[in-house]
Amino acid sequence: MKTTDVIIIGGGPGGYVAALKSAMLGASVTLIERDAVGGTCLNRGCIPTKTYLHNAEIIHHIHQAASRGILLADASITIDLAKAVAAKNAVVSPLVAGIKGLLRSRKVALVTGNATLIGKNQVKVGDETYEATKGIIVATGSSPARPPIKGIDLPNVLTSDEMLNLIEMPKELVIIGAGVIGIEMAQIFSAYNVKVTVVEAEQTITPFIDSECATALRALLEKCGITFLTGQKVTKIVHGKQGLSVSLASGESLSASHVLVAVGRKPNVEVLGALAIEKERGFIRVNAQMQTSVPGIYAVGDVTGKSMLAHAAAKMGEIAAENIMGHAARFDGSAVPGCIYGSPEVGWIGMTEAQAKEKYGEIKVSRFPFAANGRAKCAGHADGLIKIVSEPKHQAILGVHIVGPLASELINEAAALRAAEVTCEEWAEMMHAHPTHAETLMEAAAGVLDRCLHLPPTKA
Amino acid sequence: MAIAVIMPKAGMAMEQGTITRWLKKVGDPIKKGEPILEIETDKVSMEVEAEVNGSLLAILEEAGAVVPVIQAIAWIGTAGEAVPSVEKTATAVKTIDPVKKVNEVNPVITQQNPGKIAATPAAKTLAKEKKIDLAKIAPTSASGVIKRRDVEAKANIKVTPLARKMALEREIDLQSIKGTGAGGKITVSDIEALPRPAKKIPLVGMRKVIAQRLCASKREIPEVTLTLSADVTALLALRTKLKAEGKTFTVNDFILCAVARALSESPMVNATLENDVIHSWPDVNLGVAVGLDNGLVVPVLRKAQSYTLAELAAVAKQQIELARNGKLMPDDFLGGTFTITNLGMFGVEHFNPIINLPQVAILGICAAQERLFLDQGQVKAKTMMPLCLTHDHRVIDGVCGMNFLNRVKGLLENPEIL
Repeated sequence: MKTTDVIIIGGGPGGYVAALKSAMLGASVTLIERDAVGGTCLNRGCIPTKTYLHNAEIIHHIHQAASRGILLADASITIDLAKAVAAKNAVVSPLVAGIKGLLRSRKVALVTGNATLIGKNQVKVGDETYEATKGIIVATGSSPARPPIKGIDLPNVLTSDEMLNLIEMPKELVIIGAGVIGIEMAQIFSAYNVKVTVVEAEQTITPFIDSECATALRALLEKCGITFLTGQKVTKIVHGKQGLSVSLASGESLSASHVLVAVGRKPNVEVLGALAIEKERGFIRVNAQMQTSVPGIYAVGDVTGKSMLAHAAAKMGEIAAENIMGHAARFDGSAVPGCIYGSPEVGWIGMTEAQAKEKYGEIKVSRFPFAANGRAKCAGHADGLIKIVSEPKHQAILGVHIVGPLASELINEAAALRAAEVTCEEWAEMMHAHPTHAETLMEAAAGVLDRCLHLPPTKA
Repeated sequence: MAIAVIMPKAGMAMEQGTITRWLKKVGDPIKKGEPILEIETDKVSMEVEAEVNGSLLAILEEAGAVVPVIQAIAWIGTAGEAVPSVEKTATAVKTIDPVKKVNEVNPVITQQNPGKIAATPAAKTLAKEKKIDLAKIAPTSASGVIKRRDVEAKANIKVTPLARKMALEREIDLQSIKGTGAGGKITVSDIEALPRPAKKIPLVGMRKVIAQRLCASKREIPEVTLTLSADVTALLALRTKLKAEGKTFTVNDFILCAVARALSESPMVNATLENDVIHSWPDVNLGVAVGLDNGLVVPVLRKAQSYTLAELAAVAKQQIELARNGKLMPDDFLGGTFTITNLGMFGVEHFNPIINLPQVAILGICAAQERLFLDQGQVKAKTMMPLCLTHDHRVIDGVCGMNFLNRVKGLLENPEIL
């Protein structure tokens, strides 16, 4: 039996950060990972998709080139998917190595294998038993869900895991689910000149974001040639002569060479074995200290269902480590920024307009379009808007919603100022460099106070 | 150098304190931390401890004196040292008109006549610049004069912008809060952790009148409440029967009718007491308490004894409806000789109603409930309704009250005679 202070199961962004933090706070740490450290985020999620979305952006730039006076001798584009996958792997591999290096630097023992909890302080990996004296952190993440639809297991019906290593270019792609993964994959393959149709059961795409932003996003993506079918359920997928056929509840059917299933993710809870830990909708239930129902066992990241985002998992990992090591830390779910990447991007923090209206009654919403931003015009991507939701009493930042260029970067300014409890009054006064995309935030903050100089006065 | 002992500011709301007792005499040696006097505020009494070693040189305010906070009340120094001739410093005491205070809708920090507060010019300038109320600053110097550093301490409190705005709105003194953010910064969660201020509703209009009248009643009247229950089984049966005939009455209609009848037979109960004269009224002007969302009114049914059940029911219905809609004229509330207050519909089982001055009695009606009783060895059910009569013992003795109450009971138990 091998004994350390802390055992962490899962080496994704929640688990490896928890390992580093525990070690930083003085613990001896065992980190158990069945595959590659970095988890879904680094190997099958955030990083691969952002690599491909950058390819899409290069293609957009090539398309724009002629209009800016850059004339290519041969403007035809051919995609070598195998090379694209290799380039993606060339991004991922050094990052995986980097995490391993960080773990080594803090003397975290990395164990490869499938772990099973066999008590509240013991974990089995193969024939070896590991014991934790201070605490165990379950950071096992999630896997793509495959809903019970007839034909869901046919060849070329893929999840994001397989999609990211696809080396054969699809001819027609049907994506089931207009969530973050569906939207990003749609943009990647649409840029590769694949006909993309996204089917969503809800009435709007990305129903979890501010509805005005969802509408704006849809319009911009449709302009890029992506087709959306909302309020539509897939009933079955069949294999025909021409490839796959996706049937919808409306009776319509769509032909496709490939189908991407992107309807959500399910928690990886096999690790719990016979241990009785309270769950909620299949996810491990935790409190704000990341404690599960079993004393000494913590859970972080996707497996908790609290927020299925890498940065949220990393923060939860830090909090679990701090609490195990005798500190008192709490996770604040309202401080998690959200992003959808691509062109345009989406970034959001805090309450949507509808949520704020429900909680505060009287609210103040200020918008600023990228069309009025110099830098965005320079870069030829001036579509979209910034929207700040505030309340009239203190001008507090209740929510910020961005659809447009660099939204994923810009949202961090909003998140930082919101966390610092800055109000729109101070925000509007903060000098921003010119010309930058971030000026839109300052302008929108001034708009909350009806003091925006770069828009005509609002009509009374 | 002599150090001033000041009236401490022992709480945010404290404006002044009363010296209850000096524990030391002039000339007594004083040790740092030793209690030297006792004070009390409107909330607490406490000891004031010496902040320095030395000798009590002078007492400026004797026991019993009411002194504004931070004003010097004594001097401690080296024995024999001369007492500095500083005039009474802070006159920061504000008398607060409670009504005016609660009416402040959007409180802003106002400059409290800075001329009257002892502060250095630099302190005043900074306070003005930073919009800080000098009256809310406790001086740290022995002289009791507010210095620039005192204002700076207040201005330099680490607080997030949003927390500062919330504190201003909720009238919270930031100096009284310990911040839990980075480096002790006060954050929104620190503000939200504080007890939330009460919503202030001025006691004006109808509420003020209610308060005054009920206090006067409780103060002046030696009251007695008698309770007994009437068997209303027959009354309810009669009501059902009349309803079948198309004549709808409420239980309250029967009560009004019974009480009007009983009052017309009880001259000492249908009475008022004014200026040491008992007025025994020939007419029954029956007051009926009507609860509103924001108060209570008592419309009066005049000459109630002269109506039949049906007539009285119609008049009562009209008056109660007008009262609920706020359509009654002031005269409709005047001249009552007795009041009925019915809480039966709310399930109340007993209460002590308060007499409506200058009347001498009030009848409270409680919820009718089914009760089991033994009738020749057989368990039977009947519906009982408790009646609570509060009467003014100066006018009505127990027997008189009891007779009236029993008459009401008798009428309710034999409703056909109504």
